[in-house]
Amino acid sequence: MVDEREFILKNPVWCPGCGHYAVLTALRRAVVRVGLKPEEIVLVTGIGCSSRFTDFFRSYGFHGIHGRALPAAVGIKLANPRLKVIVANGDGDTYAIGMNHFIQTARRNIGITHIVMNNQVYGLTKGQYSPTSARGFISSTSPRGTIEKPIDGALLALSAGATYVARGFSGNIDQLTRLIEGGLRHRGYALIDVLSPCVTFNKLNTYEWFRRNIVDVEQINHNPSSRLEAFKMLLTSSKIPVGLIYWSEEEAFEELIINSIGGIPIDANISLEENNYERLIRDVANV
Amino acid sequence: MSLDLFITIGGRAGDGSFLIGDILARIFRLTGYNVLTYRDFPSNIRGLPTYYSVRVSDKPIYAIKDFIDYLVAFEFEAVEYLKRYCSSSAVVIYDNSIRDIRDVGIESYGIPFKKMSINNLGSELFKNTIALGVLTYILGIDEKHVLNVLMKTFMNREIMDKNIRAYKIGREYAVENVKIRREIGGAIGGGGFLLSGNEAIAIGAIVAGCRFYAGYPITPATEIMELLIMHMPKYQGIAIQAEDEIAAINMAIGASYAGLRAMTATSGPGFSLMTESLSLAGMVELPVVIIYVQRVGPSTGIATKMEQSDTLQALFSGHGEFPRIILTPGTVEEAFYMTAEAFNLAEKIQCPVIVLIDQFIAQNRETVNTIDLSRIRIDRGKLITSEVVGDYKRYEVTDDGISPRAIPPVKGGIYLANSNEHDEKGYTAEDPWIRKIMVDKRLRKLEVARKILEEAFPHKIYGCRDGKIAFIGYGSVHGVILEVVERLNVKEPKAKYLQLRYLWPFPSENVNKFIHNADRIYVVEHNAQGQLSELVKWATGISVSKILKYDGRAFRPLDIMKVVEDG
Repeated sequence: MVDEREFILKNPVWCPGCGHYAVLTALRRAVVRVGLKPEEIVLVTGIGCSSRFTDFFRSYGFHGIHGRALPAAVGIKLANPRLKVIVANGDGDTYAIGMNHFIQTARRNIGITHIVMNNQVYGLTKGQYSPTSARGFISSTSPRGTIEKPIDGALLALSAGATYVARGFSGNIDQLTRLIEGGLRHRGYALIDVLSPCVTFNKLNTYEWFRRNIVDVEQINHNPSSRLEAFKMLLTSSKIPVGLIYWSEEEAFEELIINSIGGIPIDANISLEENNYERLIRDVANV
Repeated sequence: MSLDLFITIGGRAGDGSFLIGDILARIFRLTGYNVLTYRDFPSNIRGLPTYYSVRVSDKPIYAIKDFIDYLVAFEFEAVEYLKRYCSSSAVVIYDNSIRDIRDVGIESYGIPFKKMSINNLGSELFKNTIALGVLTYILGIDEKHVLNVLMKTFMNREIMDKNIRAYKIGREYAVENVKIRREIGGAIGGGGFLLSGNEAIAIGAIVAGCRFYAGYPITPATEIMELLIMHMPKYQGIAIQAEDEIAAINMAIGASYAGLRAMTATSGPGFSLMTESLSLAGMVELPVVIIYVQRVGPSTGIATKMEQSDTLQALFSGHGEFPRIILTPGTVEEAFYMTAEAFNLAEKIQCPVIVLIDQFIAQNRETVNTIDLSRIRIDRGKLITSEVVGDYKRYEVTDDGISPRAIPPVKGGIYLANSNEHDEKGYTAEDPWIRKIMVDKRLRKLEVARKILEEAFPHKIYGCRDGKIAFIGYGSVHGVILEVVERLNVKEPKAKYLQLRYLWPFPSENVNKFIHNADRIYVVEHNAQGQLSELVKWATGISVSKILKYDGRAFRPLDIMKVVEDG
């Protein structure tokens, strides 16, 4: 039986009280519940405090460049869909520099479990405002307060056609574990946007602040299988909705491709003896 | 009797010049001649001037000719513009549906292609095929060869029939009104293929076992993606259109991490976007093949025209220091073999490999006599695909710098591909001694690459080995330099040429040896600053004369001859 310790590479080092500790714990618990082995998982991270996950979580890992965790994960998943591909990164990586890939991966419904540690600030570069910072947020690059509207990642994912949209909170590990587990079991792309406080650079969105300002959708009779209800919840709720916001079962991108090419690419036999390339040459040369 | 003709078809985009140019090239190929096509076209779908040239010869050819021998023009402007490039014995056939042109100055026929098409076939669409009928008659091409190609070109029965009628109308008109020259005899052979560089590269990738491609549409590299999306699924591979070039290369690197041979292709603007990820591939030591088709820059430049102004960008872009390999095929045939070998190099050295060509080789078609699959080998280097026993170190410091590479879900092979500086297992490390050891380890691989390359793609010397006039070039200038050297050596052997078949690791020693005894050294390239010339100077300490062209069009042998004769 695989237990959580199998997934410990080393003890994490973040600021004491950082929300990411809880996310790491929840992820370890979730993979155990799903019954995964470390070799079967590829954890892909970007750049930022959250993306240090790959130094702490034991599995195959790919720590790429800022904003590009998703396309690297897409390449891995398409090459070998048997692998469980998890992306762990932050609000800067996902909703700023990597926004294009976020929308595209969501609409393609590629089987990636995407955990966004959303702390509404750039931590690793020491406290600049992020795309999810509240309007008026004061930081080193918004000394007079931001004048930009914050992005709602869940709402964007839903609009883009995502089939699993959830929001967790670092202050509730049990629920977060369930949401990640649901994402791991989901067919296609799953977004888990995690409200994960930065205790050092975000003095506004603290644990206390979140506790006062979130609402658990599981407590208020929300129907996550209705896209319309999900939109309504995200658009009209006076508090930040947390929990499973939307879920539907659709074919994943990789399933459609694998069906059309007759197998998994990593299983393809590439030896020259096993392939008929004469036909290819004639087709391309138009003879 | 030797044959060497240069035929240009000119009109506006939408006139169908390309179509009949292509048909003509295929007819020549069918009869066994060597062919080179040359497209001079705008980045536009309809309306702007467009020229398609076909050179046909009984000798191998990789460059355009000095002067046009036959010109087919669908508008006056094409005649006005192109007649300065016509030889004095050229024949011009042009559409005189609107009016005749007086004083062309060379043998010319005004023929109302447009009117004939409308009157006989109800639309001007077939004027190009009528012109084909006239031209092929003058050239003396057997009707059966033309019909053979026409029937293979048009899939739709009705369109095929109309084109065959159009062809016959043109031919009948020519029999009555035009003087035959009978340049082309009967078939002199056959076999072989007519392929563009992009086509050869697509085949080369699949044959080499590439099973993942991600790209983004960009002229002049797009055909590679279109062909791979069409054909790769038949070999259980995935080729997809990504959301941008950054995604494309990261997808390819991801697929490579998971164990596939992976590739992307792009041009200058896309490559600029990819450079951060190029550096990533260097750091995580993952193989990836990048086809870099240069076009005119800077910025959007001229998307449809040739240039070699990204030479230094290909060699030096990307932050930090890491090994890369730059292959530089000079013909379509070389593009095939080099693309196939690029995958071996990428996996053996575990680094990015760039196949650097330009629009000329990418989009023009050339005769490729054989595609010899028995020359293709698959060598995956230090790849681990079964359980690792013991303490596995993905980035183990080895003598040659190359470490064993496991792929998920291999048991015992867990590691982190880490863009941060890392230790032997891939985990983030900033200690000064680890940093230095890892930099040295990665750069050591370049020396291994150098040895492999010297054997796989030795630089070729053409002409007279102890010639005093030395030429150096890479890529699309290959064919034209060959012809210049041949001309210079007609009376007495005095010229030689070094074709650089890879630019990185830079072959300083080869270049040094080659220019050692030369009196005059010319570096020929398609850019304004002489990027290769500067590289040669940097590597050898010797200044060279630059022969440069940066108007987007190919060198003619004459352009280079003039410089040499004046110099």
